[in-house]
Amino acid sequence: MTSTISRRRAGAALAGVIALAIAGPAAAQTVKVGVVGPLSGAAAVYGNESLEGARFALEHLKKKGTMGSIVIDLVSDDSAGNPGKAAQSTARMISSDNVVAVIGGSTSAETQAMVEVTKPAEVPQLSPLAQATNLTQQGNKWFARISQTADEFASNAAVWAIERRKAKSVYLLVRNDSYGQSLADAFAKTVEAKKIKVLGRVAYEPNARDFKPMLTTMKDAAPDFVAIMGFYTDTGLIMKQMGELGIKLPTYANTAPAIPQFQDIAGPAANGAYGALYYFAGSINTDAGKAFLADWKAKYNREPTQYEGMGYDNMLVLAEAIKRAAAKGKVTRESVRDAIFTIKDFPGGTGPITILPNGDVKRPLPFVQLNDGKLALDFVIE
Amino acid sequence: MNFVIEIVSGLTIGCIYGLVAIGFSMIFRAMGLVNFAQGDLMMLGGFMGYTCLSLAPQMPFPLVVIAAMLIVGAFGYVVERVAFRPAVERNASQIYLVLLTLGIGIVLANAARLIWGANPVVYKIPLAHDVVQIGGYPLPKVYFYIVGFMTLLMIVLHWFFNRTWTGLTLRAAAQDGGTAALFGVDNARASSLAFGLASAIGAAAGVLYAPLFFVAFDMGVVGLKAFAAAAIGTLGSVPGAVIGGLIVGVIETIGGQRIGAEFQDSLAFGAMILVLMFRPNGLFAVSRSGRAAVVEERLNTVPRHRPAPAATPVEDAKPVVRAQSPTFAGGWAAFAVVMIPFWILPPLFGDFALYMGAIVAVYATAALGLQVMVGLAGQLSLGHAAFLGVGAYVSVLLQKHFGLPFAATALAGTAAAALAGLLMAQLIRLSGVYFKIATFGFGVIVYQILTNWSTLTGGFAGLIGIPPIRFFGYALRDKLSLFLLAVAFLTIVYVLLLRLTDGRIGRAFRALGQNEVAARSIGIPIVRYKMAVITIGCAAAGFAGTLIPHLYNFLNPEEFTWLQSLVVLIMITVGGLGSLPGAVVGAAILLVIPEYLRALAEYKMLGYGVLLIASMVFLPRGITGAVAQLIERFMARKPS
Repeated sequence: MTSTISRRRAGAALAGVIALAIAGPAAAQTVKVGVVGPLSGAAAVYGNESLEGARFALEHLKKKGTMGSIVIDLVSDDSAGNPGKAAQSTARMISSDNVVAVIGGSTSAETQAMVEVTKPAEVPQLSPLAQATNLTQQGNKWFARISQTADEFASNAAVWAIERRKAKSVYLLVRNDSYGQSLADAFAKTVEAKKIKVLGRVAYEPNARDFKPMLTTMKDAAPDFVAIMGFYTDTGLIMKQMGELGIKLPTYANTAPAIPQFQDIAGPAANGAYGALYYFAGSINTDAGKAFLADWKAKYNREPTQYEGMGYDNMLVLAEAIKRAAAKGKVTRESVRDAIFTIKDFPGGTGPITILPNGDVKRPLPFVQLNDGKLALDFVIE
Repeated sequence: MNFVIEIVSGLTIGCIYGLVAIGFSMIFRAMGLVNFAQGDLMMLGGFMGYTCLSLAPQMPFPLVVIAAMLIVGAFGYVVERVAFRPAVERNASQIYLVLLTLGIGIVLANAARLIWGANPVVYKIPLAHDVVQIGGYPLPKVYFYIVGFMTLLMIVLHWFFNRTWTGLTLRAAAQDGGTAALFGVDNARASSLAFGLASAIGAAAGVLYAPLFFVAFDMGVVGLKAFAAAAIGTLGSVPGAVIGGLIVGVIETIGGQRIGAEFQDSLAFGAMILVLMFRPNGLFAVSRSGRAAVVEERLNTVPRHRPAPAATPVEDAKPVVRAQSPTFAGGWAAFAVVMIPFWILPPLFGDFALYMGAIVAVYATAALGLQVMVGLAGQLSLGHAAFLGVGAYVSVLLQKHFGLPFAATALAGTAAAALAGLLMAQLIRLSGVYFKIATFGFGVIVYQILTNWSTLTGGFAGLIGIPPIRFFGYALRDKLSLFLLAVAFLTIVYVLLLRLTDGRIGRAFRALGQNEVAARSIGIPIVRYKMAVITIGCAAAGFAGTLIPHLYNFLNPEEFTWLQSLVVLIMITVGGLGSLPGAVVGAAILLVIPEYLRALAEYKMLGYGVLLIASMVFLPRGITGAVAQLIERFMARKPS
């Protein structure tokens, strides 16, 4: 409890430091930023990788001296993918740690829970991964994200399936949660608008393991294209079981093809799977894109994953906003929020980023295909 | 084609459930204990197989199965000796043992997460993808291993139990420990063996499951479905476990295909509850001179093979349920000691303390309800979070759709939870063990309704736009008023329960918890009291639940999972089973401490598991019990 008090004092001291910094720009100024995401539990891969990306971004900024006298201090906490815990962590960061902005969450449900905290407290929140379309339809001036909405992601996927893959009829297998269902809604809507038939749409339990009965029904319907809207675990099992049943159809596996565990689970049946990714290393030909890839490889000796890339860019965007706010005067929650909405054609590592007035984003969307264990770029929607 | 595939898929997954269910049944038969860690032993087997294959990729699959069985079997044997035997010898209550198995399960799952990672792992062997064509049907090759293993196991077990001395001693010890002991059977060793054997069979299930799907630290939930299987097939019966497994596998596959795959889990548990309603001891209950009934009677009261009564001083018997029967003044003194700081401290420490204080108050209220059910009356519920959910959703939906004021919807939410509790209480006609499993199933069904009835509940996406609480036109929006309201809720429930449990009713509840048979024999109408206590406990949870949407300004079914039920159960255990102040203290400890150990968030669940086990082993009366003991000692010394 005493630490709460000393933190509050620290907060007051911080405000003093900020004031001083404006008077004399030489003094270092620390800005606290909270990060909330699932570091454990089923969704841990999203939280851990995007946090790693954010940390790498800070290292990068420090090395290049981009931020001048501003030092960004990350305070992170685990939501375990539980919305209540995410809200609790966010509340604590805002009132005890006195953060200027909050990064997160990774899943849509926890992001919504966090919004309910950041909005009344008037703290800017920037999510690297949350996709639920309605997050930005609530007239909330304190939330933005650098990930495309489920709507945009899936309707682009539908256009791609029809135009590039020449699909004449599709069959949808949908994870029965807000993520899967909202992707499927958008996909189906776009497909039907183009007069292509949806031959079937089946929802399955997130922890379902055996899909054979629904797959045999799908086989009988004889679609020419299959779209699976789920997480990599269930998508992997579905493709594995399609292989076992001898079903060979071009399949869109959402973001799964980029995840190694998906390939392990599906085995040989994963070969040929298509996917759309937030980011695909090597698909971005801008200077910033190439530099990010080279720097990351130099440190980790491998390519960044899509979530690492998103975490990286999310941090860069927020840091840029903080820098702009500082240049205009004081770094406050409000000035950082205003600056986030001025981000336009920002040269991110995962491609140019523009934050739209409602908090959504405009950015490229790469489509890939898995060939013999290697991802190959199929097409990029700019 | 479809139907054949459905049946074959259902039977295969059913075999896996059956294997895990055999483990449940064997341990139940030997020790009268439901081992909730059985699914986690299966998970451990899966990972052991993975490690074997990582070390020796060419290892033949049957050898992998055997290696995992040996390792996990030895592990199970040791766990029984180290963790269970001392408890059994101390004559600990049934609830104590069940909580111990839950604690071991949590520790196993989370240790596995730290060792093997949070992502699923896959056996990289051709068997995982090989397919055999039979009569035009493509069948994965693993199916044959599964069916083959199952057949072999049945033959071996039959031979073992009927033809070997060790097998016969196991049966003898299970049937009548006292008589068996007369003939030189070492009951304790029989228990260890049964536990080891059950662990080995669970491990085999894990290895056989892996090539079909994958291995993940949280796959212990498969084991919980195996529970339904064991119950349907009558706990304690090995062939019953297998047939129960096949029934559950086929029902969820075929039913899932017809009704909707999203209701698979509900189908499995629904089938179980239905079967138990009509056949309270499962489909294969043999009324062998009423033995099942005798076992059942004993379950809630005493464990199997107890040492000679003289060996244990009465003082040490049943350390857990021996709830302090507080004097009137004592109960109120503890109430003051716990509640006064609760009212005073958070407002002194700013916004976040108020916010946390409100959350703690809500969970403490729910924990009080569970405490009366479990700690006092001995009715273990594994689905408590579901009732928080019922209260939360009913209240908020009435506000949103009918514009009713909070005061009215809070009552409605409480009433709904009480009704749901009463519904669940109907299941107590299933005796002891079956009731526990049924409460778990009840929790699963409520959760699936919340997630799948999305037009009403918003499904997985949850509900936003929660109206603020209003009293007489004044909206409670700030943290202080929400805190005050939550603590007021807690205080009301605490006072009511204190008054209730202090009198005749409370004594009846305690009698129920301590010895059901004795309680019945002195004329306590136990069925009526059981129903009452369950309804009261669930109502308290529902009442607390009505505040949840307003605290978070958001409502999502993820708050009401089985894991949350487990957390509430740990709260009351750590605080002290049977102690009302313990429930409040336990809630505060479990919610506040992790906030200050943010850097160690990854270890939180592991820590909870260790805390559960440690508090049962070292502080059987919980933290409040230990404090009370210290005070007693201090007071005793003073006059001299």
